[in-house]
Amino acid sequence: MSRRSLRLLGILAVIAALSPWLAPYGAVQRFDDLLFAPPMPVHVDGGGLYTHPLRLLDRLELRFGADTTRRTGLPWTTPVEVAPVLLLGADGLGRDVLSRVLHGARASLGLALIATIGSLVAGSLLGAWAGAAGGLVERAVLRVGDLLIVLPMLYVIVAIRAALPLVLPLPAVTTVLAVIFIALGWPRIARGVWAIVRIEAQEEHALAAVAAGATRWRVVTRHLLPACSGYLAVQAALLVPGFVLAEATLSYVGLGFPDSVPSWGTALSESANVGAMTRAPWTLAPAAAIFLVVLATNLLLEPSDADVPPPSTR
Amino acid sequence: MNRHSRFPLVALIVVALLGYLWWITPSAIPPRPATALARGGTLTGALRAEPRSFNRLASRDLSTEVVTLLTQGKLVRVNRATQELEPWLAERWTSSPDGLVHTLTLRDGLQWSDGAPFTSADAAFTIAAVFDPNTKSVLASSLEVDGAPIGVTTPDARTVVVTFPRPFGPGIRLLDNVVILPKHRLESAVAAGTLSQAWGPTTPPAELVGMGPFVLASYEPGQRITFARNPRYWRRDDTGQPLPYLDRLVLEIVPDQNGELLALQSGRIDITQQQLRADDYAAAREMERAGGLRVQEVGVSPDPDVFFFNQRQTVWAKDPRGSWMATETFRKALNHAIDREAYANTVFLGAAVPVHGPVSPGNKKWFWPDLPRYAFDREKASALLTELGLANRDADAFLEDAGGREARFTMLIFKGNTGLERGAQVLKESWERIGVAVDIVPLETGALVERMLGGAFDAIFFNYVATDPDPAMQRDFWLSSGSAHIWNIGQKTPATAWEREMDDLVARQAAAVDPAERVRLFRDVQRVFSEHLPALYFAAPRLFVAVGPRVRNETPGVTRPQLLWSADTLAVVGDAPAR
Repeated sequence: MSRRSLRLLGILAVIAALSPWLAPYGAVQRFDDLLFAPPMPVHVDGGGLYTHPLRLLDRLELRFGADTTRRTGLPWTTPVEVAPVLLLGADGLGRDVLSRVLHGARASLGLALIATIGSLVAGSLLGAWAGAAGGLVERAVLRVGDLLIVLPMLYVIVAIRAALPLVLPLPAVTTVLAVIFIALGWPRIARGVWAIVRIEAQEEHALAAVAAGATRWRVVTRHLLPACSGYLAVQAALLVPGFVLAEATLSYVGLGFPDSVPSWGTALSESANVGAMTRAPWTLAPAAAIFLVVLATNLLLEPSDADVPPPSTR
Repeated sequence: MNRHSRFPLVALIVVALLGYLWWITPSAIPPRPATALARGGTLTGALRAEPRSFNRLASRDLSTEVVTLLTQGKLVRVNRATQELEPWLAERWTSSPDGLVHTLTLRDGLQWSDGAPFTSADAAFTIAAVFDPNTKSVLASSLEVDGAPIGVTTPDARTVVVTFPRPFGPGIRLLDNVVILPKHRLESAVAAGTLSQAWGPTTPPAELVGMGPFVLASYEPGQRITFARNPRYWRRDDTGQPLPYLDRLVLEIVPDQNGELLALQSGRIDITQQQLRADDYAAAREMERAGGLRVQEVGVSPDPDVFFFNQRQTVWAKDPRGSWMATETFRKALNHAIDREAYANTVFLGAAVPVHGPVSPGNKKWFWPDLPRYAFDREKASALLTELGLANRDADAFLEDAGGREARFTMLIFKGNTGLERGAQVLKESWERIGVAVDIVPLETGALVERMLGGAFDAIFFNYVATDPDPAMQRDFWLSSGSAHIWNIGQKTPATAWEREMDDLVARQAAAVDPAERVRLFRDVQRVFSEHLPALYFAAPRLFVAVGPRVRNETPGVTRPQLLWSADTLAVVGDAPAR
């Protein structure tokens, strides 16, 4: 696994955890005269980094000009009363896109992480149980998993959402989304774990443990599941970006987090308007953040130099 | 793939993304020189939905209305640009002093598109068909006066006498609601009681006959509707040239407004179904500067977005929040909490005028500039909430009632409507600043309307489109028994004293034939509305339409369809873009 991509993922996770402190402004804080304002370029001279505040020239035509007679620092050092500093521009409600991306990281990555852990735990336990027990349990777990894999999930989600009350508190929304994602995620993991457990159970160390009188639980947890660790690590790296994308998709179509909760999906829904997308492409910044996560996790799966054995020499 | 070979891939992705952004950004199209109006050519427009029928008596959806505007004719029509009534198939009319009898004279020598003569019998046939119980026409209520149908007699082939059961202020303006159908083609359907199924979307175009400027040439479901010039259309331009100017009119079915705008920008279509969104204005202006489009301001929309609470007493009898949420004081508090200038700036990027009632300045004749207003005053709003017993009883930002219930309600909006979504966000923030929490729930149109009709909602914020600027033609909205009395639909008897008073005023206003008296009575209606505030209004957008560089002679109106209402005078220059 690539150490650099692991580092990138770690940085993203830290950013997500610290987002309320890192974001220059609140997730819903609006600047009325900066609707669709473009990113403010950062300049550097002997006095350090600075920007020029934006002036609204024409609200309807979305034209802004930099006030070059004034200088402001970066958003973290400039009080908002002096001038808002929008490094990634503003969305259609005049909200700082950078702050929205940072605040959104928490919901999007947090949910993806919870769902990934839940899927790994549920998939591992059920897969190992099916592999070790065999018979009816095995068939039941695998068939239920198959059923969930082939269900058209978007329709299922729409149906589930329609059956729930119109307004759900945030913990309930998070729980519902996590449960849906776990239900989506565990079957493939269970199937992989089941296969590994079936093979591993025929290995000598497992047979010896059974012969020595070890309980089934001990055999599974000490002798069979450890063999799945590599597989589970790979699955985790695949699930995290998958769930980040799933959250973005569901929130984008209005089935995920409500608009009041900043997430990458809800932030992206601002870009659904083609006019906004062409006139304010910076509102696609959450898509770039998602791209980074997907890229980092995909690179994670590539072997690092240390993993590749040097060519043998004679 | 090793790490060294990854760079070209990443570079390729970045180049592809940049290329995509360049591609979707409007490109410059050289301006074409203006030329004189000439007959010929094909204009391509857009429809956002399939027509449910080609029979206006059977369907009220906008696509059906557009198709029938193009293919059918009316006795008189409301000019969408001036909002005034003008002669159409009837060239003149006289009215009795009591306003009960109107005698219309048809133009001489009119012919249906199949060559059959158009006579007063067709008009009488259509009005009778509208009121035929087997037809169950969606237009029936719009041709009634106080619930009684109008009567029609035909002394001769060119004379139609319309008799009202009671005096009716708008007079024959109500005939703008109905297109005249060919008796010789549909008589058998009426006799069989199957008119409501006649002229459905699967009807072969050759069977459709009309008095409109175009005839249906082909309908490809999900793709396009093509119209050809009606060679027997009656109208001529000022120089005596027969109308319509166009040989063909094609309406592409483009369900999504984003797709419609892209099609306009790329030149695939020449006109859109309706106005530009405020967000699209900047891109359109940029293209206009490059010669690729023309943008016109049409005027102020007569239909501002409306916010209203559910005011069915049966709903609030079971919900303790009703003790404050269903009160006038609560609505007034919320109304005082809105800064309408800021609302217009945020929601419509400044292209809107603040409004305080359902009649906007876009309704030229009936707008009352002196309507009592609720000034933006958060302190007053908070004081009104205190009067209702709402106070912050815990550590959060929101108020609670004496029972500890949070001052919170759910606001339903149409999903995918950028303006409404942004407006709802501004309202939510404004009201949260006085301690009232709002949960915004975007719903599909059908789901929202179902909840509205069933009374299953706290509050709704949406766009209500009136069919005619004359208030007597909107009695469904004003009367407590009306099907569009959105806050409490279809009451058997008025639920409140002020609704009873409003019913009385609206009935008198509709019955009055003296224009000055009608204006005075409608101001009284607006005053009662403003005092009791069943619905809240914030801003009416200024409307802009954009047309492609080939289009000439458009006369946009503020009501839908902004351009196609006068399709017979639309013209194009140059070749149609290849599809």
